[in-house]
Amino acid sequence: MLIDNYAYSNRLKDVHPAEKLYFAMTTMAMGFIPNIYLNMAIVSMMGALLVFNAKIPAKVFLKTLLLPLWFVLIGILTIMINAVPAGSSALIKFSLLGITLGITQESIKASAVLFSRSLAMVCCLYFLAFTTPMVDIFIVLRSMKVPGLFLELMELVYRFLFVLMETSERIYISQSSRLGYMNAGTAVRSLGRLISSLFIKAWKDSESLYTALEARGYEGEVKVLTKKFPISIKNIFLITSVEFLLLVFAWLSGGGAR
Amino acid sequence: MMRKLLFSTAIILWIPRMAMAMHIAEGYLPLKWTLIWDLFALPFVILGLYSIRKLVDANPRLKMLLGFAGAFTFVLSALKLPSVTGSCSHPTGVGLGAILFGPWVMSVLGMIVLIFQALLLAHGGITTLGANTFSMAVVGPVTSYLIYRGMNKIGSPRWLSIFLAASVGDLLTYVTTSLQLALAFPANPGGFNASFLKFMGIFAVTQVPLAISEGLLTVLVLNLLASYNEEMLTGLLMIPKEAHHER
Repeated sequence: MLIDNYAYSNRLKDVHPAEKLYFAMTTMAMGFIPNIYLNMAIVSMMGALLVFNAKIPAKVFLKTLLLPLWFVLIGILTIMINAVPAGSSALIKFSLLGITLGITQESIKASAVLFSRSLAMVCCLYFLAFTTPMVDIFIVLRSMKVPGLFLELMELVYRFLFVLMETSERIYISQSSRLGYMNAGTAVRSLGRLISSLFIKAWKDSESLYTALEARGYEGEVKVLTKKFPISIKNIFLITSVEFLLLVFAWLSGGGAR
Repeated sequence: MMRKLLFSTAIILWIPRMAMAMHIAEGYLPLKWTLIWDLFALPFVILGLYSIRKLVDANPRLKMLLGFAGAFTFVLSALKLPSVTGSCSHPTGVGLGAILFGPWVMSVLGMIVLIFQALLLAHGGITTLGANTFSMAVVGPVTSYLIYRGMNKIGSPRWLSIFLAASVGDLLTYVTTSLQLALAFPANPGGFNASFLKFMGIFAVTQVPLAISEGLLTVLVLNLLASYNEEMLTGLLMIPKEAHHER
């Protein structure tokens, strides 16, 4: 998992995770303001921070940006194309199965707002994902009083995920080297076997993990040492002023979409 | 000319790709609907946490198993599932999880998996977490579970109840997603109904064959597990019973 690798090795990894979370979340909230210019400002700001400050290769950032694009594009096309009455003033009209479909000026505007908002927020999400390791996010969530059981389950899932991912990749390679994914029929059969053996492995691993933990004095809670991060007043001040500037910018550029 | 171009582009874009894009992307829903779906999903997750707390207090070993179950669901969603039409998608594991672990447990695990999918794989997002949790971790598993239980009660063969539970659960997940999208984006002439029809139209083309393959896959997996160790499976199936206090 590429994003996770960068989360542990980027240049901003030593910044306090709460500061990064605060920055990503407030900017994301800012993204709800329907203003295309503001959204584009957020996109360029997050992109610049990731590429120049966190030193994430621009190519990697752009490639991950394409991931949610399919959903967004398809959804936007669906919203853009409407059934319109025959005599209406649509920009583009065509008929399909006896229904007149068309794209109107309003539907283009609505889609543009949606597209830019989604792009801006995806960039905020990527800022968090690329700069903050999950382990650090757990520290912040713990101090935010997220229920202990939920957090513990999250930590366990995060740990086991890599174990099972690797196992499934190995099984997949050995199956496909034996032509297990030759056609759709064999693929379903192989996948069924892969999943069931993966499940059995997960089950057995969980049993032996529990035994191993109990042998080491486990009493219902996995205790780990947490890394200490310095709190930077400067960063908090900087983030708050950037958010304020964004608000001013949104106000000055006057809605954009309206 | 223009019309043809537009139409063929739409076909090329839509058909094979929609299958991969099942999570509502980050920032896609307006603020109002983000909050509404958060509120809808929350009680189910809290209920799930309570039932997990009960299970874990009764048998501490289960916590590790639930951790693995969550990771297992995540890995499932990263696998490629060959579909009847030749396109590829990812199994949701919704039905399998609900049958193995019960719907309440799945609401919590599903939410955790969705958080990791957003942060590690860039599928879905934080603002759409509530909406995605509601469709994939609440509606899907609850439907699957109810169908599985109901079919067993009227004495259908096990493969049939598993197949129906998994495929209908899968389908209803997408119906819920279309509903969420249609509510947030009513069509300009036509309103909610027209919009719902549009989104459902796209999902119907791509998701019905996928739901069928997911159903077949779930039957296969549970049969293999049963032949490996029937006892283990019934042991697992005890989880939902305890969680529900049904018997």
